[in-house]
Amino acid sequence: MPKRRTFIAVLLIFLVAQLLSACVAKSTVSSVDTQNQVEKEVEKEVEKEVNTNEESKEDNENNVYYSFVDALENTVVLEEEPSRVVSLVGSYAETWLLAGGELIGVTNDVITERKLDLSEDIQIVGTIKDPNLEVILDLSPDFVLLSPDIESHVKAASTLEKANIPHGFFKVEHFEDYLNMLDICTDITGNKELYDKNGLQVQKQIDEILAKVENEKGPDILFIRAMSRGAKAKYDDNMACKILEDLGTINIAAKHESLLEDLSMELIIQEDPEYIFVVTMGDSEKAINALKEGIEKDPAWSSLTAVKNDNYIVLPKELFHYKPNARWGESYEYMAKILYPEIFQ
Amino acid sequence: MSIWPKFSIRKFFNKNSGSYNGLVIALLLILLIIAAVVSIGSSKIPVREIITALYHRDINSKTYQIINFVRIPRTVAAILAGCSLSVSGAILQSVLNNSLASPNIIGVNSGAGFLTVLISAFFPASLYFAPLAAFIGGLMAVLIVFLIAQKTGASRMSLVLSGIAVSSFIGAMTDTVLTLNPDSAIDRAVFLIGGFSGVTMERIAIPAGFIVLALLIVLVLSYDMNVLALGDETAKSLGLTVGRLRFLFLGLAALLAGSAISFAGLLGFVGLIVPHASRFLVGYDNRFLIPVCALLGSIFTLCCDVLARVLFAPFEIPVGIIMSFLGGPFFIYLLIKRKKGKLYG
Amino acid sequence: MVRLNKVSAGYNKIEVIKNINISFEKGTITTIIGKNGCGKTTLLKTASNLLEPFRGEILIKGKNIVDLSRKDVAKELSFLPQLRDTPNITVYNLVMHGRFPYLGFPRIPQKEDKLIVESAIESMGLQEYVEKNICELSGGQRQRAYIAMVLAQDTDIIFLDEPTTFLDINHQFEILEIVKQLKDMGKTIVMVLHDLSSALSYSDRICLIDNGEIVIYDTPQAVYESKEINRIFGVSSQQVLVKDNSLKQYVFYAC
Repeated sequence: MPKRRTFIAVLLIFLVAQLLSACVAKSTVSSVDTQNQVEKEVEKEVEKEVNTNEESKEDNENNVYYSFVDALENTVVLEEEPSRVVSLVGSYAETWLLAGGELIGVTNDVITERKLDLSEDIQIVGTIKDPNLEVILDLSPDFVLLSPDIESHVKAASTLEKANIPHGFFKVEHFEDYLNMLDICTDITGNKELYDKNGLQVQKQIDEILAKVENEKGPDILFIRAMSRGAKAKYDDNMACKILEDLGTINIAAKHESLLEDLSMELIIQEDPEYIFVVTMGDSEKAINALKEGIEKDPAWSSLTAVKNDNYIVLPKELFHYKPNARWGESYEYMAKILYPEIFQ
Repeated sequence: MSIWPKFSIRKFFNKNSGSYNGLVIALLLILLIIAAVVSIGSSKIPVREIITALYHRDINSKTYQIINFVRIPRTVAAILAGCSLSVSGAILQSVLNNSLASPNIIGVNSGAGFLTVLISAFFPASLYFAPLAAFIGGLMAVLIVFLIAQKTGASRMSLVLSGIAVSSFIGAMTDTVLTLNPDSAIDRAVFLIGGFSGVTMERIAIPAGFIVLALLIVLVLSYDMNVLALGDETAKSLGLTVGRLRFLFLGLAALLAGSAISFAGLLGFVGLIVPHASRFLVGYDNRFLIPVCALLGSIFTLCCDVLARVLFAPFEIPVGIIMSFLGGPFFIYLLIKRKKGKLYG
Repeated sequence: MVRLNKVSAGYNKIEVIKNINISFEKGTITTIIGKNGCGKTTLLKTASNLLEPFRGEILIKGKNIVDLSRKDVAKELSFLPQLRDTPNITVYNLVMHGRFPYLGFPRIPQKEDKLIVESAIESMGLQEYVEKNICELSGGQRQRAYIAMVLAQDTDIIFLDEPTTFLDINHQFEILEIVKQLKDMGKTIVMVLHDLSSALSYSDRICLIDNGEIVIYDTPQAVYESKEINRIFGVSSQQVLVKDNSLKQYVFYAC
């Protein structure tokens, strides 16, 4: 049938044309673009890398102020101490401030999520998911903080690269990540005492808590994150779950990975965890109480031990969803008090 | 228009010699608009400064950075997407004899979107093939829609219905892929609505090639499209190979739409509105309709993009939303005004 | 001019016309008549290369139609369908489309093309309507415009599928007179007509089809006398003389 032949011919022509132009394009595109398009399998061991790499304040050869390796394994070089810093992630803005730095531009989640009180001079550069590149460039920043998990950040990086604006990717999920980021930030700002105060002291606090429960066998728990799209059980790569794990609990989602995708009532009843923790985006007391009432009235949920013993607990999102940064110790404490009331008054 | 009762825009465009005036005016208009668009943004940059910045090419000048890395790529992307989508719509409306045909009703959008998402989910390293994938996806969807419509009588209603059915089905498949692979490189919401934020010249280089190629072919064949409009039998009698030509035009429409989708996401309504508006200005002769569609489409998209950037600065509304806001009411107007769905009397 | 040898054709693998052997002679008007669904239009379309036959061959001026390119065929014969889309174009542009088979790449009409188009418009008496949109014309005028297009196509053979449908009776006769004019220019015309009276009055040959086969192919008088029309349609017929007994007309009425 002539139609089919023509279709195949056309397809082949375009396939060849595309292959050729792809080869040409590949060789002319900058290396940053190639990196940005690689899968986002980010090393969790970045902290080890950072510690073994140059953190020298003075590089005799090039007179560079500071350089480090960021979360995407790019070497970030700061020629001078940055004074015009923009953060595209609210949590990183807070960390930068905790390191004694100053900001000229932030994304609006700094206000909506973190409720930080910022001076009016600081420019809002858009949302965390969609930062406005023009506004950022207009500020003439000399250092930008980004996240490798957000596509618009990855795209922005290629432009920042071309514009010779130093920028660093940070990935913070657990306390160690925060600590490492604080380390780098305080290196840059030169306020190492803040590393001690906002970092090492918190570490100490956490270590003390964990020491007290070292030999305890923790209860079975289930952790759920409830968003407008739906609720999912969380296990591995989640900050709250790590806290729970450190405190000796057993997450039933570890035994049943299917729970991560689909909250199966059957499995939950079968496992009957002692505690059920929920983190929601809801703010008001009313919404949270409404949620609890609904659960208590639901025949399936109300049959669970955790609900009967009033161990169905809605956690504050500031401590268990958004990165608590310097309050990480508080998060551990909050949870420890719930799990081991005898030990922690 | 009421100020100059003797002067009718329509007559001015619709001259005997075939609307050359229309073309010239549209060309001048687009140059004006490009100049305006590049100077407007979160900050106004006067045209003189733009020219100086481009001349000196100082990487460290923030004016140059903004112009070169943000505004120019966006402007080029908007022009390309605007003209290719509206020409695609014009082709589909003419060839399928259906005034409600447009890339997103006929299945091109969903087909292109599906394959693009599939590639980013399973072959993220091959994102260079996104334009080709979008093209193939678009073409296959159009073919399926066309075949189904033919089987059911090829009336304008059956075409729209089968387009909707096929689009929904493919959309469901796309959603499934996105749900199971939430880490797909393409940010779901942004892609589905469509926008130009973060676009770079590298990203649009290859699709641009396809678009220009397809536009040239369409322009050359625009007279044949006129003959096709006489009806299959008359056209065949005049020596036209109707089947093959129609297939070629569908392929070009799919290529144009698919290429635009690969960097702009699923933009709606340009393909529907602009051909109608152009027809109002220059009539049905495709030799003039196609170029005017291209120009008007670019102008419309540019204007929507400026609005998207400026309305709530520094926050950006995706262009697709603005287009739908304007396109939706017009679509309803079309449905009411049109007695039958036929393009030709 | 046009010869069909053992031609069978139809749609969806179902034969509508079977084993047709017929030849349309140069400079004649042949009208194909028959009941609805008997295969008249199928025969017309097959002969004009719009429908591929299942079997048999079609010869145009002695050459097999499959050996000719579509463009070449378009220069030899033209087909005017009964129903067609009416695009929003001017009379001039419509008639210019008739020159399409002759336009090279790029499609720019030459002086010769323009002259032919103008003369075609003139011979159809449409000079005043040259710049008018064909959608705005009356049925008869529109049909004349299409015939002007066919004229501009400058083919020796013209196929017309029910050219008088939906027209008022005066316009019907107008078109039929034009058909006679075309014959006087030397064209070979094959048409399908529903109206038996007009068919017999205006043709040189009548081809009566029933159930996909040719029942009789002869002059109108011979066909009338054979009474085959009466048998197939179940009617009676009468020959009358009009215009001071100078013109023969055929009248059909219920039995």
